[in-house]
Amino acid sequence: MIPAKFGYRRAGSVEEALSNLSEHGDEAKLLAGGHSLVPLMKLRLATPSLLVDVGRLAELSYVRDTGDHVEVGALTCHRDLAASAVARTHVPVLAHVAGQVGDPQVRHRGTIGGSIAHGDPASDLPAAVLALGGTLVVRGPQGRREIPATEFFRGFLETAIAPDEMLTEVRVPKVPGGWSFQKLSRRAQDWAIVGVVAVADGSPRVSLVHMGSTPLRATTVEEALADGATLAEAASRAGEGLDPPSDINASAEFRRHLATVLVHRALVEATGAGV
Amino acid sequence: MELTNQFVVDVPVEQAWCVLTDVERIAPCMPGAELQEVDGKEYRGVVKVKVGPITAQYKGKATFLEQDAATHRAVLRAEGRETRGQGNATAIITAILEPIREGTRVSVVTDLTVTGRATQFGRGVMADVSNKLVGQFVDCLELTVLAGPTADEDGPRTAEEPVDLLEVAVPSLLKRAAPLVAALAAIAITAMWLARRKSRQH
Repeated sequence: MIPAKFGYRRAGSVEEALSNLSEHGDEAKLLAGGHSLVPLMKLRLATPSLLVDVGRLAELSYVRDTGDHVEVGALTCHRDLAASAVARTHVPVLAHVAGQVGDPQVRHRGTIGGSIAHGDPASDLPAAVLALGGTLVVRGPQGRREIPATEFFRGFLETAIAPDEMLTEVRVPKVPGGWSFQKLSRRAQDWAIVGVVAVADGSPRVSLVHMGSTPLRATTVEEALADGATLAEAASRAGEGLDPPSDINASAEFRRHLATVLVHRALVEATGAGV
Repeated sequence: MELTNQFVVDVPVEQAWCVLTDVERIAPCMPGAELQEVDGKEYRGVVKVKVGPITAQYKGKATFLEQDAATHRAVLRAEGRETRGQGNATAIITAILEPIREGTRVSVVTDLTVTGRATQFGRGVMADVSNKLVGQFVDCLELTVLAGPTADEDGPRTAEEPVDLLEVAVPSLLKRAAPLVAALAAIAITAMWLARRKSRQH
C-alpha cells in the first residue's frame, strides 16, 4: 500500500522541528530514518497529516565519550553506532546490538532516536538502553529534560515524550564488564521472537525483547540473582509475572520458555561463568 | 479472548446506576468515543483510539441482550468495523454492579471475537490498552459526573425514596457506559494489534 496523503517539511534545526510540532500537535510526526514510522504509514495504520523531517540534522549524529558516559545523538544511524570506536570500546553491547538491527540497508537509515521514540517492545535498542540504565534527553517548548530509561517506556508504543517534544540524545554509562545479547528469530533480519540483553555491572541487569507490551527489565531474574540464586535458577524465573504475546511466530508459552533459555545463555556469557 | 476490567466509584450503587444510566451525561467521558445515535435499543457511535503513532477509528453499534435492574447486571453486544478496512470485531460484554463499603464496584468481562488476520494479535497489549482506556473513563466520571450537582449527599437511597423522575424512567444505560467504552476500546485495540502483525510481515 502507499501511505495516505501527508504534508512534508524539512526542519533545519531542532527549534524549527519543535515549533512545527507545537503548531500541528497530534497531526505532526517527526521523521528520522523512517524505518519504524513509514511501514506503519504504508499500512495506513498511522496517518499523520504532516511529516517533519529531522533526518538531516547532522548536529544530532554523534557518539561522544564524556568521561563516565557515552552520549549518542538521536539521529545517529545504527551503522554509525555499530562502527563507532567510542561505542565499541566503552559500551560494546550497544554497538553490537545496533549492528544486529535488521539488515545493512536498514542500519544505514534507521536511527537510535527513532527506534527508542517508537518504543516497540520487539525492538532491540530500547531493551539495550534499558539494560544499560541509560537516560533519554528530550527537548521541548519547556526546555530540556532527562528521563531515565526505566521510566521512559509507558505502554505499547507509548513513551514519556510529549507530542510537542523531541528526543535529542541517548546517554548510557560506560560498562567495563561483561555483556551478552541473545536473539532468536526465524529469518536473519526479523524482529526477535524473544531477545535478551544482559549487562554484568555488579549485579547483572537483564532486559527482555518482545516479552510484553514494552521493553522490560527481567526484574524477577535480577532479584533472584541479588538474593544469591545460581544463574540457572534465576534464568528459570524469566517468564514469571509476564504476559508475552502469542503471534504467528510463537505462542506465549513458547516465549516464556524461550526467555528462560536465552536469559540463561545471556547470563553465562555476560558473567563469564561456566554454567 | 476474554478481557476483564474492574473499577470502583465512590457513590452508592443506586446512585451510580442512576448517573451512569444517563448516557448523554457520561458520553463525554468515554475516551475518544462519540455516541451519535440512539435508535430504539441500538446505540451507534464512533470510537477513535490512538496507540502511539497508530490511530484507528471504529464505527460500531451496541445493543443490550440482557438488563436486570434488580441484580444490576447487564449484557451488551457490541460490533464495530474499522473505517479504513483494518478489520472488525464483536464483543459480548457483561457488567455487574455491586455495592461495597467504598461505594460501587463495577466488574466488566468482555468476550471478544475477531475475524481475519486479527486472530493473530497479542492479548497482553489489548489488556493494557483496554485498562488504560477504562481508567481514563473512570477518572473522568469521578471528576465530572459523579461529583456533579445531582449527587445526593443526604444519605443512602432506597428504591422507595422519591427520586428524580428521569433517573427512574431512563433504562439501565449505566451498564452501557463502561461496557460500550470497553467494547469499542477492545475493538479498536484489536486493530492496533492487527496492524502490528501486518507490519511484522514487512
